[in-house]
Amino acid sequence: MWFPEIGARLSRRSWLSLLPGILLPAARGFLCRPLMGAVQEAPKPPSAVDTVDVNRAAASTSFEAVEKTVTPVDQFFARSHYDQPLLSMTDWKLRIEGRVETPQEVTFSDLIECPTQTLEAVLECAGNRRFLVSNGLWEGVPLAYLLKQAGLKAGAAQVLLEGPDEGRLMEGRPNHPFARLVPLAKCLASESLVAFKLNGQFLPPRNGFPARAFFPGWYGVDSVKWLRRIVVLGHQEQPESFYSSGMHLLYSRWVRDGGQERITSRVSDILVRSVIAFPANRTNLAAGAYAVWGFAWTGKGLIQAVEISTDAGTSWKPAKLESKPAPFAWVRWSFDWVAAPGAHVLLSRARDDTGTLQPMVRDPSRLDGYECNWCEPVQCSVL
Amino acid sequence: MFSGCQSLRRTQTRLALQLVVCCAVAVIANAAQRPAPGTASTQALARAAEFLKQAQVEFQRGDFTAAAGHFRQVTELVPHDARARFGLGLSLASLGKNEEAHTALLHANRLSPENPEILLALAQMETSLGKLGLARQRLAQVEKIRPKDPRIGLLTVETYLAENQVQAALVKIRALSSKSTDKMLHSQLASLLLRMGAWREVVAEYEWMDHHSPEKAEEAMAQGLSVAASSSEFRDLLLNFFQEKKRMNRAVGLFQRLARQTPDNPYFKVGVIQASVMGGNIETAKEELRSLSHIVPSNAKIHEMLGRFLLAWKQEELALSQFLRAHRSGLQDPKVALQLGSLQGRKGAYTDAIQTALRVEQQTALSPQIRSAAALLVGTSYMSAGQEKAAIEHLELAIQLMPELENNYLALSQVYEVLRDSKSALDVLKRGQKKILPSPDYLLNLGNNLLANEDYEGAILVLAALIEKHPDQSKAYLPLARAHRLADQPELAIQTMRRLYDLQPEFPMLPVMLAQSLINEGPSGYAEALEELNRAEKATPTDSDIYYLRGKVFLSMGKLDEAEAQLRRAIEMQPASPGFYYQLALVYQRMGKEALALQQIERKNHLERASIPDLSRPN
Repeated sequence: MWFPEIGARLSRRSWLSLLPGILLPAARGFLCRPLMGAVQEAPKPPSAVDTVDVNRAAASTSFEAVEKTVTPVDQFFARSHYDQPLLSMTDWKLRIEGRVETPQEVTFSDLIECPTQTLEAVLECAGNRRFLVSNGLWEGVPLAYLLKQAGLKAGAAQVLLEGPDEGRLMEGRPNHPFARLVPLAKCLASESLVAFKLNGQFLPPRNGFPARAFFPGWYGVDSVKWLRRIVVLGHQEQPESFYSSGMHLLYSRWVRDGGQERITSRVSDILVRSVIAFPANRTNLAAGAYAVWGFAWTGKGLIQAVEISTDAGTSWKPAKLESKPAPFAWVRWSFDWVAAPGAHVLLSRARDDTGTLQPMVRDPSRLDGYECNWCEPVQCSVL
Repeated sequence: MFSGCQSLRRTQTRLALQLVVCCAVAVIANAAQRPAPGTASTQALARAAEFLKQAQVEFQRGDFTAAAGHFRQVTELVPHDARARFGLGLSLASLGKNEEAHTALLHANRLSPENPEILLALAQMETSLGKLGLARQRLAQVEKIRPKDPRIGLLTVETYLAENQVQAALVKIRALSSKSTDKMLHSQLASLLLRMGAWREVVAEYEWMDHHSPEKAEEAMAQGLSVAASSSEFRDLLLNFFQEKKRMNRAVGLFQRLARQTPDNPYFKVGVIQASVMGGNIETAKEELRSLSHIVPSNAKIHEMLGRFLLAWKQEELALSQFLRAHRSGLQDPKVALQLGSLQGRKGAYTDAIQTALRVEQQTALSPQIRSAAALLVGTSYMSAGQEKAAIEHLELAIQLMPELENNYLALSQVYEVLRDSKSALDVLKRGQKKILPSPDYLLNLGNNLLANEDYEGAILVLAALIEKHPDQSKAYLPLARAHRLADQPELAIQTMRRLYDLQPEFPMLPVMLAQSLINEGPSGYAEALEELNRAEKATPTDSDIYYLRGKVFLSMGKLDEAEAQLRRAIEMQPASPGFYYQLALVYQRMGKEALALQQIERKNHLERASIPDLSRPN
């Protein structure tokens, strides 16, 4: 694993030396907003720079627009680090190289003609607090198929995925293309795709057209958009651009542990979570019967149950799952609520089939801005 | 149809030779049964017999030079041996020495004038030498001796073909085919037809053969495909044959076998792809497409042809992929480019669609039709991409290039509708109306836009005329009803809705809308409105508007208890509708229940009050 290596290379002192000037102005955006309680005062770990808010109108999802379970394409959330590249299917090519027997150059026609797989899956930003999550029907070529075509050489252990979008991730760091390093095992998992379709249409440009990596069950950051290069690497190989850009410092769990602050591991699997779509927070209602509804999802396993509290967590009642839980996809749930006059705080919490329950609060030891899956209250005033 | 005709003359000799060789072994053996006349010594006869035996073996194994040598030696030893002369003639013919072969065969014929095999061979040779009169005489002779011999017909066809009388040849072939049950004859006919390029007739022969001997038919098909692999028409006919017989798997197998035998021939792969698609096996088709791209990475013609085929079979993405390959291979055909652009747009790749179509639009040498279609595609793609200004520019160009095409006006008016510029949308449609014969769809758009521009009389004129001419245009009724209502013609509005109800009783929400119109008429419409609401309740009992409207009617009629009950039910079903509370407040007010009325007004205000934005929301 490469985290211990980082730890070895980057001492606590050097971490701290990075902190004061590390964030570009735009980095003070959504990913590094103060979180809860004590965490607000803690020194912040290096965070991603959200320099581009591609198409603000559709930058975050609208739950109301979701019919059954699938988010319409024009409502799909999009977040990017750098400027969106303008690519054409005519000359787009994906190179597969590194520790492979036969390096490949895959065209868009090749992708269409390869065996494909379609699955419904959630895409969630690692820094999502509420609206940076969508659920769609993804179609693409299994990454394992493409890697098999290239022929993996002995010693292959990890895969660098690179897009053409380029920029400076942190102050003092050089410009580099956006890239992520993913363990080979995840790339070879049957669900991992080079996706080129969303809800039956080619990907919209802001969501990675012509093709992107897609790792169902993992936070969106690894699902590199506008994918142009896949490099298979050995266990010890450290791609220079990846490390010099500072990408290895991001999307990691930063914790306070016995007075020490340190990275424990990278974020990957989406944590169990649910949201209330109706009513929206701070809604005025008249007394009466309502169907409260929302979605629940998890990166590993299946959603087993969703519970609702209409009294700020004092008591909980089961919600009805309205769609069949399936791996990687979110499930729609509803709850019949007779709203009496007064102020109400609604909460939903999901449980997956491993028994993991959505937490009520943030783990106080966490200092980063990722995996924000705690129950979010919805306040209603009923007259 | 007869693409093979031009090469007919070139193939005459070869064809004749094949027919000769085909029956040569039997012929020689047959002739050998006859004792050779003459006066040769016993020793010479013995030697001749030895040479003859050798010659026959050599002939059979295809060593015609050696065979000719030994046959000649026999003729020297036994000059009157017809077998040797015949064998010599056949051997020389096989070596392409037609004049010498002809001489030898004439000699054999003189020695054995009634031998039909010699006569047939002679007829064949004379046909290939262009001596058609002589050939026909020989065939007439054979017909007297052996009238049912199918080769007479085949050679007669040969004589027609030698004169380029293709139709006469076809008539003769059809006659032969319909009369004969001889498998060999049908096989020969298929070969002849194949050389003529008469693909339809070839496949008809295969069909006959398939009925009588499927294995031989498949063999003949394989041979046929080997000859005519690149003919898409022949391939299509053959594939249709398999499809009609519901045997696409056999077609796949046949093409796969040929592809394995000749891996460099792309047309067999093309056949596998086509047969797989027609058989519904898309994954196999995709696999073969990938494989084909390695054999012919940039054969624009093949990719284009496959693109069209895949499009016809509704495999839009695979068609797009092939058109894309054709495009990358340098294909300049603007129609193919438009197909590609159209598919790109349909699949949401608007930027690519724009780029593809723009390249066509900008070619000023092209016809206005093509350029206009390209401009339309560019414009609609820009519209889909949310770039309305650019869309307008290109759609105006489309109109300028082809002012008589209504789609150009419709698309442009839609852009203005998206921009909520109903005046410009209407102007465009009015402009188009002067140039085109408008379709019902066009008139509907025009009517709607007149309505949007508050030209109620104009809208009524257009929409009423549309309904008069096309009463099934259900989408025209509601705007017409609305136009009537806004033009202070409520009775006509109701009448129009009733006509729609007669036309489409299932039209969604219609009874509720009708009830609303009747309520607007005042007390005279209440009874009918309640009837309509009863009807609506039966169709959609969960529609809270039914109870709301009923409440309103009862309130107007002074039936306050009924009004309260109906409005409470509406609120129960839809507690977040402020208007329901307002009506209920009016009921309570009329009842003198001021506190309850006030409570309803407070609820209405509570619901209407904008929610306080949650400033703590992070994203």
